[in-house]
Amino acid sequence: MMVRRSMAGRPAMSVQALICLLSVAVPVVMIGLACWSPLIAAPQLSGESTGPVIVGRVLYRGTVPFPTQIQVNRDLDVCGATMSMTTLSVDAATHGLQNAVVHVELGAGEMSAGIIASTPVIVRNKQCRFHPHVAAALMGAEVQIVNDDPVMHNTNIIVENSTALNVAMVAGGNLIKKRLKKSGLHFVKCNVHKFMQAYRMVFDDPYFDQTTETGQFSIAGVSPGLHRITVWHETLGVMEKELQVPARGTVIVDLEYK
Amino acid sequence: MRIRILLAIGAGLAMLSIASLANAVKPEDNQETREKGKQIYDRACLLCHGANGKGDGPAGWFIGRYESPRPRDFTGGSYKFRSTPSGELPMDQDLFRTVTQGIPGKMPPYGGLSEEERWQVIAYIKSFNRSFKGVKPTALVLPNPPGPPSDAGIENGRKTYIKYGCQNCHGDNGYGDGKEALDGNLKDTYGLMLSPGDLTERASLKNGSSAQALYRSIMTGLDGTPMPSYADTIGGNDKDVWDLVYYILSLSQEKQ
Repeated sequence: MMVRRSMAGRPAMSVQALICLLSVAVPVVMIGLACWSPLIAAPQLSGESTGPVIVGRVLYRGTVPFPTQIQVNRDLDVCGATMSMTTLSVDAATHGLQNAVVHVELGAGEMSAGIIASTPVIVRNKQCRFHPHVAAALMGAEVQIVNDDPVMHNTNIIVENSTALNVAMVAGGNLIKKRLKKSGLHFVKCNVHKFMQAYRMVFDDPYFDQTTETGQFSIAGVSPGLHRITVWHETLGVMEKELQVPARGTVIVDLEYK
Repeated sequence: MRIRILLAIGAGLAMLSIASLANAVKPEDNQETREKGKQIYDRACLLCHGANGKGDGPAGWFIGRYESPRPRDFTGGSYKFRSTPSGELPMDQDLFRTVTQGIPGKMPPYGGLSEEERWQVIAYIKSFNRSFKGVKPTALVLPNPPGPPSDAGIENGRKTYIKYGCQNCHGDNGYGDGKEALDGNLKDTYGLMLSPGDLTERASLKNGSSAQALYRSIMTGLDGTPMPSYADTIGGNDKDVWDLVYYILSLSQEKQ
């Protein structure tokens, strides 16, 4: 009946049939476009972009001591005769504190999502210093230890009075790759050159950041609710604050060591 | 030459049979075993290692109060004598060896206990540290020593001793009087002062003074102390390590 009417130049389908067809075809086309078209952004599903972002600064307005000069007692041709040690690096214009590690703790009853760390943690022995001096990392991350110096070092990493790793770094020796198996503060030292010290802060969850030269940090993806935010610095110690995190938007927080 | 080969085979078989025998009587690690182990621990270990395994027993209070080593803290402390990589827990066999042999000058050997009793006490010691649960440590490959050392090998061992920085702590001639030791820079993970081993005294080799035991100490390091593991950085350079081992052993032979 419908075929005959169509051939006669009348509408090929009833209105109900057209609605039916469109209701199926439009979503199919939309999904297809969303899948392959570079012009249409895929929906952002990660918590990072949809959740709140905590941005802020870590500040210190106190007196900044001059760098300490340490007499080097061995390998002077590589290390130099003196070693300048700066443990407090503050931007004069903004009072921003560099190399502080900020962490937002999980909310009450929350469990870590078990994110696998993909960024390696570097411990480079170079000119009798560890580079970088401070770094934050996720548990399970690979730690890569390398010795660029023509002298022997050892990289002795201590967590809570226990050896997490203590490896000899012979001049020209192999690159060493291990996994971070403990969370917490990792104190890195060389027993051959006592002035060589560094820190790695290791967390079970990804809600941490290390402050820039002007003391800035940014942490995304935290769940809404009340959280404790902690700051660690190698000489100023640990500072804590409670923080109410909304469901969306940016939370701005300044944390100042007094 | 034939006698040497026969002796080497004999020694190898003897070691193998001791290890097999020890494993043969190893009881299952269950509540009953740990309870039996506790009874032994309370009368043989508690005095130094404490009721809760924290290394704070009545005698432990006086041992290593100001200078390392303190009695081992079984609840989370580092284990020095292992066949596993640095930072790892020891194998059961490592604990069995230490309990059996003791530590010269520090801990008496408990070979007087039956092997079953030693395994029981090890099961109890492990129960102090939750990290042992569900973890299966993997030992480094520790090969048998090569043939008797040559003069050229020992000479190479002396060069390796310098190359690997052993003299920094143990001194130019192995007396434990290296610059870092004399400057008081050597401390354990608790910050207690520590003296490096005097390599001219066999009793100073606390992880054992056989060639294989020395090889093990060099490759695994002694966790809790500044002595690092060399396994990763020099992996594949076995000849140098064995030459170093025989050079170190020659230091105590010369003294004898």
